[in-house]
Amino acid sequence: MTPPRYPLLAYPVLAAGLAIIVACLCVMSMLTGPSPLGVLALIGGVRGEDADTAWLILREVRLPRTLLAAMIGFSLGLAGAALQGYLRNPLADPGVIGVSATAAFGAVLALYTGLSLAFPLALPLTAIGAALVCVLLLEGLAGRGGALGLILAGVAISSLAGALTSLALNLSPNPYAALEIIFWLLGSVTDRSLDQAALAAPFMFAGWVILLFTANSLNALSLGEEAAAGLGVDLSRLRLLVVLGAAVSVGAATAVAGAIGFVGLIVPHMLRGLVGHRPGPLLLVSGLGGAVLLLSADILVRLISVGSELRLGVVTALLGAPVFLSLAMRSRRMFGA
Amino acid sequence: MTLTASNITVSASGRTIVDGVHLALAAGEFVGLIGPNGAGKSTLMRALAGVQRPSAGVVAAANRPLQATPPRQRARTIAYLPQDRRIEWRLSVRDVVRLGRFPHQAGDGRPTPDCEAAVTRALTRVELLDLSERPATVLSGGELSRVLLARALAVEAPFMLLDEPAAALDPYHQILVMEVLRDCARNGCGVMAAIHDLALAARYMDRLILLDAGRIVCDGPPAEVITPERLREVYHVESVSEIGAEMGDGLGGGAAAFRSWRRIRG
Repeated sequence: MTPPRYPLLAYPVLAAGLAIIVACLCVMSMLTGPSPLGVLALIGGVRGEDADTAWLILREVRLPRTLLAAMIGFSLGLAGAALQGYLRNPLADPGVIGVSATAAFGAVLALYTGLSLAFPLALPLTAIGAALVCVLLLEGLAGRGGALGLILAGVAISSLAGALTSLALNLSPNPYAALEIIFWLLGSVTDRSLDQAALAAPFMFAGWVILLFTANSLNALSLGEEAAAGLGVDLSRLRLLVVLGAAVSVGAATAVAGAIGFVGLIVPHMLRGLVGHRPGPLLLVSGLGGAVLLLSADILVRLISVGSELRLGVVTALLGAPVFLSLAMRSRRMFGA
Repeated sequence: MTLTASNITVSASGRTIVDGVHLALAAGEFVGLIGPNGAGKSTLMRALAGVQRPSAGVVAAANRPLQATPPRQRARTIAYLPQDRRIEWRLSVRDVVRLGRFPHQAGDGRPTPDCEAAVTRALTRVELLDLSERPATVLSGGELSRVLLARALAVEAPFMLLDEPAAALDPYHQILVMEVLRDCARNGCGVMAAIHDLALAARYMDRLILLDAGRIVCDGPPAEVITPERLREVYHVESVSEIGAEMGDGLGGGAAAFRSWRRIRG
């Protein structure tokens, strides 16, 4: 006897539905922009120089932007769900707990020491390295400390990484440093090149594979570490996979787009109920949900005209901070209030 | 098949918690692990389950050391119910019990064909089939205990190690749990449970192991293990019935287990 389980959607339907939405949003993202030239113009039969310009805009401007929004959204949603499952805490998000800020600092360090000029891979690698240090620090500081310990450790690490980023830019002789500070601290996928996307993509893919691999162990971890160990979960291996996967995917994402917060918080929170609160199946759907969120937000910032373009990280923070607040209020129990 | 511990010692932060324990759990046996708080029962359980590596000595299932056994295979051999009764997410009762099938899953996490049948059997045993779609987080403490017991039953392993499976249950469900475990033993499973209720232990278990300060004080049938002298020595209590005995009640020895206790000072 197998009674019907989830009232809303079966897991494969949910995952397929989200994947279709991601595909549609990618198409919309390719169609959206300040220039009237684009896919529509090409379909409309533009010839000659205009057609070349249209291709150029598509390939050099909108394609990298679309790909990055989708990949970074997937990375952040997936990493958020994995960190929450591992730390068994719904407030864990790469942005909230400082992984993004630390990775941004790593990227800034590579840029301003000239290391990234000497060899391009230095940019994602330092960002990933910094993110690794952050996750390990967090685990050491707050691995078992409950919600409050985790958030406090995250805030401390975030502030430190933010201060160090500002310091690096402050000391830089580059007059555009102030603009760059804004880029790294706010996060955006505007004006990124295909090369930059190509540099980060393999790392993000690797991170996804590692994280998706932990799904079953994360399910077992719902019963606590001891029961999970009793069920045959290798806890040290699981820890290594989560730390490595989150650091590699978020580090690479941040290396191209700066710190984009709250995606990993909002998305798992919204989708958890649809997968019966199981942390394993939540991973893939959160990745897809993250891509949906970031693609929509990136289309939105292009449509809303407020003088200068809104930064993607600002939009996600505006959406995410209230969710964070409500989650924190709800888990006051965990804070001992 | 037998689960054996040979001279195992577990130390943590400079303190010896389990000290040179030898024991064997055979198939078909229902064994109780008793002893005062801090005697090392939980730590011994963890070492026997292979969750904690002993500082010295070997735990082996069917002559194969647990440390040389891959974790999943070990988990298929020994079902372990820790004392920590926690469920972190709002999982349904059925999903929690399904986790008991985790050690049987293939690498890709697909459930085995007999998964749902094993889950249904386990839920039926603890009389919770009606609640299977309920979120486990809204259950009462007693229901939660039974859900987690069903999770351990669903493993359908040849050995079961349970840390206080009957704690915090009302009398009806205490008896239910003891009967379920005894049935498991009668069906060939080697069952060992840490237990504080000496009356329940004496009534249902084939053999008791009394642990004190990390060492085995006594290992044998309940009536031999629970004696007034040992209760005085190890637990610092005496049976109120001994007063009755003096007054001509005539009951002593194992029967003392059914009586209430009073504390001995000093």
